[in-house]
Amino acid sequence: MATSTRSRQNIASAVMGVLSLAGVIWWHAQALVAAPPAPEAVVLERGNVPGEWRYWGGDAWSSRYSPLDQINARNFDSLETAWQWNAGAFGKDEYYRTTPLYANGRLFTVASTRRVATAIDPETGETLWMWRLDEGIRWQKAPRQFAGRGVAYWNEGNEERVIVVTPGFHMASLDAKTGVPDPKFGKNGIVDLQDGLGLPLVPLAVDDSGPLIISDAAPARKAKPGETWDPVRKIGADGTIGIDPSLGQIANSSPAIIVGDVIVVGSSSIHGYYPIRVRNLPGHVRGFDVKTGKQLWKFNLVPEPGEFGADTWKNGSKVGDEGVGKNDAWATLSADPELGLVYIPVGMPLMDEYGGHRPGDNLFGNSLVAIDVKTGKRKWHFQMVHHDIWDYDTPIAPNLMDVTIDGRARKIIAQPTKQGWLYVFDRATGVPIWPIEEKPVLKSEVPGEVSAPTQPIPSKPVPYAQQGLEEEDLIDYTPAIKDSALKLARRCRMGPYFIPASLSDGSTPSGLRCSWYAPGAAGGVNIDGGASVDPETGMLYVASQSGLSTISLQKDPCSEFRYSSPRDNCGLIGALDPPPGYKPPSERPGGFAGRGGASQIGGVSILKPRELGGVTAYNMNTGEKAWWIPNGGFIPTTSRDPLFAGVTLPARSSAGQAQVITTKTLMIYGTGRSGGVPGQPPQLFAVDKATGKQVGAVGIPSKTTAVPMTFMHKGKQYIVFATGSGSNATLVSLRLPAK
Amino acid sequence: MIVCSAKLPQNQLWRRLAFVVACAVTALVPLSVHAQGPAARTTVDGVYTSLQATKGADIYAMLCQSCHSAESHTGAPFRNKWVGKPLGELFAYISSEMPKTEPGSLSADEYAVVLAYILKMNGMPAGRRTLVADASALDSIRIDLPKKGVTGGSTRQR
Ligand code: HEC
Repeated sequence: MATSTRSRQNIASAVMGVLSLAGVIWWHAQALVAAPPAPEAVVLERGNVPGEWRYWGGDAWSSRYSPLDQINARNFDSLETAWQWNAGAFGKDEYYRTTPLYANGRLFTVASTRRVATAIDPETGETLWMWRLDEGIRWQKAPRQFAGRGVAYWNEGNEERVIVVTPGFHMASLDAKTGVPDPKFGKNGIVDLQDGLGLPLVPLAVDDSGPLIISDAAPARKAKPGETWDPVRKIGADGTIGIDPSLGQIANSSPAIIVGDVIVVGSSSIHGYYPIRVRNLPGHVRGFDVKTGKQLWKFNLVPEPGEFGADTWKNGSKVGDEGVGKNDAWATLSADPELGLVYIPVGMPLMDEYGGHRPGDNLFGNSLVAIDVKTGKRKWHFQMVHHDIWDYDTPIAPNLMDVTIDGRARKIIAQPTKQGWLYVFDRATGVPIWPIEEKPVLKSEVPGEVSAPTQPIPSKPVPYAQQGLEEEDLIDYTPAIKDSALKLARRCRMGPYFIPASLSDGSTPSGLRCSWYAPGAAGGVNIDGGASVDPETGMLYVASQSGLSTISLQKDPCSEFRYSSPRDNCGLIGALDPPPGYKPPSERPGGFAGRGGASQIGGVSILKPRELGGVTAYNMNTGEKAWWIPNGGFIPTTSRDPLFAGVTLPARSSAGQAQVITTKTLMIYGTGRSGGVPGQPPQLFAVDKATGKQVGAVGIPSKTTAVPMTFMHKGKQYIVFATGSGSNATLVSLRLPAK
Repeated sequence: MIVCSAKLPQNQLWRRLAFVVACAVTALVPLSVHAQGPAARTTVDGVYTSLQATKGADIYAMLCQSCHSAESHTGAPFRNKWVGKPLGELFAYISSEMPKTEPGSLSADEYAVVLAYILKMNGMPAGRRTLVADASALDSIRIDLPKKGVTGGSTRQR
């Protein structure tokens, strides 16, 4: 366990006066709420007690559905704030991305960059207990230093546990009633998740007091023999141990999922935006015994030599092989407890936009993998993007549904993706429900890049986000407008989808300096959005964004990659030294500015406004699109550019990713941190599930920053969601006014 | 100075291209030329309000920090890339390129306050003038670091 030998400022202790014990800190107040008797007489639905919210996605199937209907179309507008819980009091954070759980009378959540675990009284918002771990350097140099997306819950008889995975990659099992770590679990309630990966743990040290920078700059290092901690400069070795940072960085950002008595937990790697090193740690999924913390199995998301899929890494797939790294299961997970399968949406391999160091399809990158919970063996998998060079991580828990297709009862799984398609399979076998065909795609012109010749394209349902850029996608209100749009479009590589990046110096045969990028790296669907379902009707509501940007590559002289994003890493701690005489480009090389801006003329996007992004409803019994709504409304488009004189420009749909859940009678959504109509106050919306018509809206203190949740407590239905960032990170709780 | 303030439309592309050409010309001229101009202002002259920086800090935490730490906008990386350039260039850069995965998704005013916060991170003082959300107007301000204070390290307190 990573107890720290140095004293760190404990923000929370200032706030709450907590106890400190060997670096593990908890504060509990058992008497505050009399725990109701365990309601195990209740029949679980999809692993959840109806009316509770025991999983990140509501239930094990990630339905994000609640059968409650106390809050409904008639009273939605009268919702009031029941309480606000200030997560900022526990310390700083980025945007607050948690979805709390409600189980057996309590709310459980995480807060601050330390990922403090807490229980909250659902009626009053009072903190019942808190727990945090001082992880020293492991925390300081964690690739995901934020509160995380939440916790996992487990119970048996009177035993109740909250499982939290920390930024420094420890897993703790806490008594849900008190927050006290379970002494029977791991070492004093904690399992070191950097252990058990087949890599030795070494003492760690740092040379600077800051965090990891974007990808892998300013990392920690292996301590020198006898090295100690300098408390003034905050450098040196602090007594923490971990995997040698020269091999890479690994941590976690999403909660584990518990199936039966097995905790399934994935891992998060560094950001791939502009890493410096062409090697990093591969991702994996592991199963642990919920009672003892014993590691039961490990599934390698970069197959080791000899394992299935290793041949999709033509330069080798071992830790330390050039190009190896990532394929991380950083997103939330789903499971089918009856089938005993857990479903892992897998992220992409190392480096977002250039794959020249890792020729091959790179399994299990960008795949949906079904794993047997008991054995850790792969039941089936489907790779949705071969050899990803678009940052198309599988970004969110897939949705499981039971529907009737062509008169046949089907157990399906639907995976929303960044690339704008919903991939639908039989969840027992992995066989696509509707054909998914390998189609030829454009070839990369970038030296050293062997892009995949084909990509699997779903025949159904239709995509929910703009796909690539072709002539018919362009605005054509007048011949002159069409002309200008086409001229602009032709500056970058066009195509129907999966358009490979161009070189920003225009040195490839086409001479193009950019490629159109749609969906972009944030989707489509990303972790902010995703889908909720209605298990009664078989409808699925997917929240996404749709836009257009550009992508181009260049050589970063201070990175090991042959090509990367069009900037340089020079000057960052740990970056390579620039060649003698190197001057940072005074402009973007090629002079072609602008991902976002490049797709506009006079402030007007060259893309025809279409019913994409926002929220798309699909009837999963047929695979047909049922309706579409924008995320919060439409934004009027105007331009002073003479090109548009006399033309009435259609409004465009608002940006950002909505955050949807469904209840018995409503689809409820917040606009997300960058969504909604500019100038409109933040709101939570209620929508008719059959038609998409808005039936309610209520003002909220600030925009939702994560998927909301709902539950019934002491006869009242609550809706709780995260909002804010930094020291404003807050949980907001809504309920109907007392009569 | 005028050479750098492209008058052209809100068309980001044209504006930027014009800007590139114009600024490329200026870049050839020694930087001291900027400083000699009668109206030469730099980012150490109080070019944003503290209210802007406070608002910017919130937006930064919400929309930028997931990919950045103060270290990527201060110290050597900032000095190498931005010092001596017109502030309008940095404004144009973040407006058209950031957030990396959703470029251009903030309003112009939001970009202006985030820029104010980046200046604050670099130890540049707040003042009474509001930083305007207009790249051309910001071109008359040169990016400079305060004499003492942060030049090498970061301003971060963690
Ligand atoms: C999704 C990740 C991501 C987000 C979110 C993001 N950035 Fe960046 N930013 C990058 C990357 C990657 C680079 C450098 C690579 C490039 O030029 O494409 C960068 C570069 C920059 C630079 C230039 C770097 C330098 O050395 O000065 C600035 C300034 C910047 N970002 C500001 C912002 C601001 C302001 C926001 C929020 C509005 C933001 N970024 C949001 C990833 C991100």
